[in-house]
Amino acid sequence: MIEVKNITKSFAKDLVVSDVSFHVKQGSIYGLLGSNGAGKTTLMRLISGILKQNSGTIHMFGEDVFENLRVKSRLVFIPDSLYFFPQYNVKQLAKYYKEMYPNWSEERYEQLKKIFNLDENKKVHQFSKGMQRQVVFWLSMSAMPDILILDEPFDGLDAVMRRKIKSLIIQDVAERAMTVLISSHNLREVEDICDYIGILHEGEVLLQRDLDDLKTDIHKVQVAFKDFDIAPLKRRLDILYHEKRGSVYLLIVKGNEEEISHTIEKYSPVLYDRLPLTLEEIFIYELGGAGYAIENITV
Amino acid sequence: MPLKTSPFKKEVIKQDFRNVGWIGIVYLIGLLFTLPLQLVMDMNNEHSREMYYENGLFDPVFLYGIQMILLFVLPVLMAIFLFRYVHVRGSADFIHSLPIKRSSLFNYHIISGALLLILPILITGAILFVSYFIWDVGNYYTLSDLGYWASVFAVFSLFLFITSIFVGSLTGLSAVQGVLTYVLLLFPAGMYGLISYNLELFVKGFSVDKAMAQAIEKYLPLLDFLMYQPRTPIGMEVSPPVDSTSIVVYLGLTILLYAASLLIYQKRNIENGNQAIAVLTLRPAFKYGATFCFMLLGGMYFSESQLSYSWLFIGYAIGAIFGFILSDMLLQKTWRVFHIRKLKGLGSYAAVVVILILALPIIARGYESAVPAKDEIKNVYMGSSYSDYQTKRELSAPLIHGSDNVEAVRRVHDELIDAAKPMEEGKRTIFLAYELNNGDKVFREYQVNQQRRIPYMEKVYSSEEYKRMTYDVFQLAPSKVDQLTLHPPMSEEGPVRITDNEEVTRALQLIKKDILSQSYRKPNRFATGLDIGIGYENYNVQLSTSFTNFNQWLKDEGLYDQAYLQAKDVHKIEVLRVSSEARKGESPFDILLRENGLETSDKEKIADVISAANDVGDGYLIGFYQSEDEISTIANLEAGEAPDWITNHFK
Repeated sequence: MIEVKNITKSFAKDLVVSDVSFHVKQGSIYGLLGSNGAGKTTLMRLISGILKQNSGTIHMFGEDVFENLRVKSRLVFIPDSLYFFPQYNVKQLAKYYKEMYPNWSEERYEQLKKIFNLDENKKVHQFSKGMQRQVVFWLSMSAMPDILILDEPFDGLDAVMRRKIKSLIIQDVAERAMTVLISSHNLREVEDICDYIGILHEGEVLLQRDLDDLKTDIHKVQVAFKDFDIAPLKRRLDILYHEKRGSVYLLIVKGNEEEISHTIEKYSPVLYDRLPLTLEEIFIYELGGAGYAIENITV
Repeated sequence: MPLKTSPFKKEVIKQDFRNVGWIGIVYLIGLLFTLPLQLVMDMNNEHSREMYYENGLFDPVFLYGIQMILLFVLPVLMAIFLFRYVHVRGSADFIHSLPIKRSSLFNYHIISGALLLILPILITGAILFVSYFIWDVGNYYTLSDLGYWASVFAVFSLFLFITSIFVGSLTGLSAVQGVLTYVLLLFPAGMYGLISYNLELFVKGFSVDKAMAQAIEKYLPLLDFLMYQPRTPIGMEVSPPVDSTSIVVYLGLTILLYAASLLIYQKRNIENGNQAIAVLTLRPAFKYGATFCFMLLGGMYFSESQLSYSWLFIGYAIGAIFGFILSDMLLQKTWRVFHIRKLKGLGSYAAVVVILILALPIIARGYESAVPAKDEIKNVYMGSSYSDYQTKRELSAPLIHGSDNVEAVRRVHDELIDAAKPMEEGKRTIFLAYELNNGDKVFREYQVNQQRRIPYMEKVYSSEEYKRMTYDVFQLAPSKVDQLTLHPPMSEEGPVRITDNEEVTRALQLIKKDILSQSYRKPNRFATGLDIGIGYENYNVQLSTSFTNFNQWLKDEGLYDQAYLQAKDVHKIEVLRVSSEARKGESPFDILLRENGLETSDKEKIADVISAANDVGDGYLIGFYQSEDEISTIANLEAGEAPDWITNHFK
């Protein structure tokens, strides 16, 4: 759906996005993670057709996005710092959106009015920051986009509203196979809704993973043996990380869960436990030396 | 995939009206105040019916000045506010993420802006149109005046609006957009003038006067409006502020600028929204352009005040460094731009300039030495300035055309090429204009020292052709002259006025006779001055005490004593020996007050000095006192013409 290939963008002489490629499948939610200044916002502005890349291609529905109305009328971008026309109320803005987006649904608009419970005749500038963000979601979801691009979308929202919006997004993804690209500097904020994660660091993509694969692929285990250490295990398993606490070993192992259990049990351990693994840990172990990039986005 | 959006996006226009509608309203109120309201107010004035307003709707009665302020400010404001969305990151991101092409977005904004500028003009025009049929306003304006007014306002509002949009598409800061719009309007003339001024210092014969006059005429858009003097006296023919060709030209420029802006806007990178110059390729052009302008300006300032080449180059250096740093600050948006590596840019710039200055004399050699061949010349003007030349053309004065005289002018020209020194105190300007047989014109201007004798100069000056060209009196029909005024510099009785047509005719006849019979001699312009008045125009004739026929006639009429400065009117004189070089630009008045010179109240000696003194001259400075310590007028006395008692005193 969103096909980003080898794109590069520099502002004057600063290279901001360098040879970035990734792919977002239709109906999936892709989380673009990176610390401040990693190039997330620029990447999002490129994908939304605001900026033009220096090189590379950005395709949606098989077409270029820049200055392409067919693509842009099915795409909504919500930036991190919101902009509203001065003196406009929600109703007037809705008219503007309605004229711009051909798929605008009045029904959806009315339906969301009840959910958000905001006064549509009030000037948007008089709303609080969090309420303004709700207004934007209200308008954007009413435009019935096939692609939704969100830059740091949950900033300034309380936990209740965050949940509400997440469920709205998930609902559209489930019902209409909407494709979503979310950027965040905080992994925990998005790990519960994303099914894909890409990590952007200094303008480059460090890694991207399908979360479902990831969780079934990496395992944290505690083992203890009576007679030997883990040297034989090392030869048979793909151990990403190990540490020794007393006589107990903590291992991060990559591979099929059954095969791992089978292998370890052959050595008749005195202790064998499988522990829960957070996404954060997965990234840190997976990235190894480049893990410093992760520390910033997992706080 | 078909597009379901409506082709016309009225919400975009609506948003523009919400955003900048107020500017349209201000424009409308302003125009209603200056035109219909003033009309009604003036019509209620009892005397208004008797007046006849010559300037149509551009008359002072319709507050011409305020009309111009509205015309010059509001379209630019409109452009700034309409284009602000591109310059602010938040709005630029939002709007450019919407499914609308940049070109249509741009056109919608242009339509909104143009509508909001044109509507007030149309509404005001409609009110004036209706008023024309309701009231008797024929003495204020005609329908064609109204049509002219509306088209001038419409075209120039659009022109200024689009010019500012064009600047806005290049820059990323609203304030810079405003300033640069006006700079751009001045730019062609300013640049042309600056370059000409500096060229004159390097290329002998190059006429900055002529260049400046042309710069102002040709390269200053909208100057017509600023120079327009609506207060023309009754009875004179009135020309409107701009002619119809200019209107068409400006309309054409508007369309060109529109196309250019649209193109730039489509190509422009949105991320450069808040940069002074948002189109990156233009940044070096802007930077070195500014450096160049400031360099020329610096050179002009220092050379003008110090009159030396070393100061000129110091001025260049100061100006260039200043301009370089200033433009860099603007581009970087910080004052902290002082880095060693910047010297590289400035250094290469300096190298280019040095090469240019060294190459200039070589390039200009052909120009400097070119004197038109004798058989190419139809006629030639020799005089003091380009503007004087233009006056002669307006009066259709016959230029020098006799073969001998033309040859004499050519010899003078040859001599001037060697004698000219552009930077010197006490210089005088000689302007030459050749009109060639093939229709071309050749202009040259030289500055030479007052003292320097130029061979053949006297031959030209004493020729009849020269006199008939130089003295306007030959071009004026005596029947049209309203009055002659003779005004001595200090007089208790006031100037002499001759208004009787027969007397005027006689006086002019005698003056012409005197002029033609005089050999070359500097006219004594000091003892009196003669103005020939035709309507509101005045033509000055330089009289001389040696105009025997005219002076005899004055004596016969009993006017001589009143017409010329007399020793009896002077309390005392003070003589100072000061060469023009020693004055260093100080005013003669200050010098006389500061120094103590030779004083005398002997009437005979005063009479001597009066007959020898002149407006210009080098040697002695004379202060005429009307009481013990009140200087009433100042004259110069050529060293060679001083009476013996002065020469002896200062030996």
